[in-house]
Amino acid sequence: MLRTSPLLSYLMSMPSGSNVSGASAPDSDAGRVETDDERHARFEQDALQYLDQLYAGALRMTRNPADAEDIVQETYAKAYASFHQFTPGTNLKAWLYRILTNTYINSYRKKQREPQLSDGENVEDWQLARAESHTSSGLKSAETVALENLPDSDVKEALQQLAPDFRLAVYLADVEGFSYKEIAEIMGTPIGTVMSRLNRGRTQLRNLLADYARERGVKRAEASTT
Amino acid sequence: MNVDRPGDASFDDCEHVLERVYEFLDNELDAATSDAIRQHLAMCEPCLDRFDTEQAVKALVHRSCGGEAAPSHLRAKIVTQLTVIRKTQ
Repeated sequence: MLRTSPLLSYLMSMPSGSNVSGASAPDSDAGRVETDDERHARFEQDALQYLDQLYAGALRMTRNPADAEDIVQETYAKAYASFHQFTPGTNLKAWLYRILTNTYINSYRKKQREPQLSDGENVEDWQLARAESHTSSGLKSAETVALENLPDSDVKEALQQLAPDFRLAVYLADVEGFSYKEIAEIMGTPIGTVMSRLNRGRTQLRNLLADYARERGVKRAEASTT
Repeated sequence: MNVDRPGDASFDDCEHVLERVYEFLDNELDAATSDAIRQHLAMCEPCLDRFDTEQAVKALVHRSCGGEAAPSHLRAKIVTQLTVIRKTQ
């Protein structure tokens, strides 16, 4: 079944402020305009190679496969329709992620109501850093080892519990390896906001993972005594 | 209470090092700052432990939270959709 809504929603709203590549594409062959066929082929070849990565990113955002498929499909419709604005040679993956993020925020997140950890916006970063002095929060090396032995499912589950902006910042930095500047462009925020989201998101994540590791350690100990 | 902001810090001070642990881990610092932090970590075991933990968490997320392949029907749907959009343009 083919959805037509992605096209309609594109026509009604162009992706806003696409800083990742705002300029229109300069034609590499001076004076020769790319044909529609060529652009179509170029899009299929260049953009579709990121389908798996965008889908995995969408899964982290929406937390379920059906919604992830919807926003990825809508993302490709929007990206295709505005592909002439993409500057060849700049970061296509980041450009696609920017559209994916906007799509998620605009068309999906509004209707999503799920319990999440507080994003603690009223706590200043320096207070957080102070509370984090290593005497109070540093995990012992044995616990670091326990962290490394956690199954993927625990780590995914912990990441899912973060507030959406924190979760996405951590995902973009740690899974995709984007720089702070790229994440700022994808999320449409200043770099300082990216750093703050990473700081808070990782702090929450580390605490959640430490809890999981402790629970698993307790279970192992119980199992070995019975 | 001391409310010094990061930036003008010397890296003799654990708190200033820990404030920048993520930037260090994410390769976002210039070479001189990274070297100063590396020197501190070499001398300070609590900070090194903390750095190890943060690095482990980052590696764990990288290992565990990506890598799902898109279902094949999604790819087919998108390819069809692009063709339809093109005809209507």
